[in-house]
Amino acid sequence: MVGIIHYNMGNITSVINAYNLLGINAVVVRQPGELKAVSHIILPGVGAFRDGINFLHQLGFVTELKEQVVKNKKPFLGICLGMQLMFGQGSEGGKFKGLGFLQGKVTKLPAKDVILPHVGWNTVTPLNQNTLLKLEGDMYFVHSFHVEPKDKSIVTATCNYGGVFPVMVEKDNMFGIQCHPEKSHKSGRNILASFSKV
Amino acid sequence: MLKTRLIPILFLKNGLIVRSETFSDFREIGNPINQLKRLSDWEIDELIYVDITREGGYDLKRSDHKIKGKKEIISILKEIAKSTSMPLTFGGRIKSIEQVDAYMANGADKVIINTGVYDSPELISNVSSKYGSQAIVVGIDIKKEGTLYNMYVKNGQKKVKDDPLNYAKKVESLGAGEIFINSIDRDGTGKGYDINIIKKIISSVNIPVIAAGGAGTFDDFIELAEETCVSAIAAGNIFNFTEHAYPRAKKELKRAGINVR
Repeated sequence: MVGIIHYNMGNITSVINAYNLLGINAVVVRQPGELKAVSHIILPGVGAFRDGINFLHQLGFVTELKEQVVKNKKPFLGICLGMQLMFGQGSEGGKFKGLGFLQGKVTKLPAKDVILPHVGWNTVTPLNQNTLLKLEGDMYFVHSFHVEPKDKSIVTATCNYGGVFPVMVEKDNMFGIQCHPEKSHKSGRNILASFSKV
Repeated sequence: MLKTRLIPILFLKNGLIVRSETFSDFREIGNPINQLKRLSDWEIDELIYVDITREGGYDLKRSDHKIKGKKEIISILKEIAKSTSMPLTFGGRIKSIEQVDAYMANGADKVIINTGVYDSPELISNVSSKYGSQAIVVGIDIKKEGTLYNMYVKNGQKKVKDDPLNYAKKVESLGAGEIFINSIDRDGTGKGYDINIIKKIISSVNIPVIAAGGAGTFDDFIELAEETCVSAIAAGNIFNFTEHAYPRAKKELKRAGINVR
């Protein structure tokens, strides 16, 4: 059973709908305690880092997430803002501490000679050490910030938009994806299906 | 490399898809859910729904219609979101953050607001602070009259004094994530896009611009992509009336060397 965390940062419906189309069991998780009962955890989300981490604290998710993801090693997937929140520090609207599952920071896309937000379909290039989820090809993006992991070896796919940036990170039971598999038609749904089988 | 998007627009009036011409002549052409299957099979880049159901008029049952209309569009959105996994943009008659909340909660990724933000510009920052700037697309309807480009609101019914270029800059500074421009005088005519004003809008802002209004053939798409740095090519009627229009258009664009998916 895949649990999708509801923390007021949007996009929950699309992820649930994608799993329904796939015929895979998925539930919305509104209470931190419910994380115990699910086998896989997804943190979706669009919007600002500050709001995201504040809501996770307010709703009491932070401690339970650490318990389930870091200690119990439940498979975890962060999508877009959810991926950014996995890191130690965000800089959207000031400096804020993230969940700190991974070391590194979240900064604005360098975006040389391109406009922000980065919105639309762009090509994802898998790296050699890639990847359990087989993320590649054209995927849908909508964001202005990106992650800068301290340990570059966790980056398993990249994209180029005014500079190369990480699209996917993987470490043990943790996955983060900057693009939106729930909005990328069949190939996106395949990613979500693969995650549920990790 | 980021692809130039090709976006079908479906205009809804009282819950049915209509063909639009110069914002004034509407013909019902179908049920929004039936059309969806085709568009989803083609794996389109994004879909824009615009509710152009008009308020006002002399119908005594007006308020009933209004409520029904609103309910219908949310149930249409729900249905669409359930059966597809693609970026969905909804617009039309949005005046409040509560309406935006309803769209976003039911599967929309972005909203297009035109008159609503013209009347209350703070709606832009309300939406962008709640959902991020990428969630708010500001619609600008432009009509070429003589040599002048005039801006209209209220479904092309009311002319306003603002200069479209200054207005585009203003909404960008207020936090708009994208701009959607439509040409009233070219809408549904098949005369091709108004390259001149589209170019000017694009160069006056630093956010993505989606252009609509006037596509009659696939060559019009190619011309728009070649002549401007538009982020997305949008069109309505051509996708409703031409057999396999979407995949064929993509093929033609690719053949012309345009960077599409």
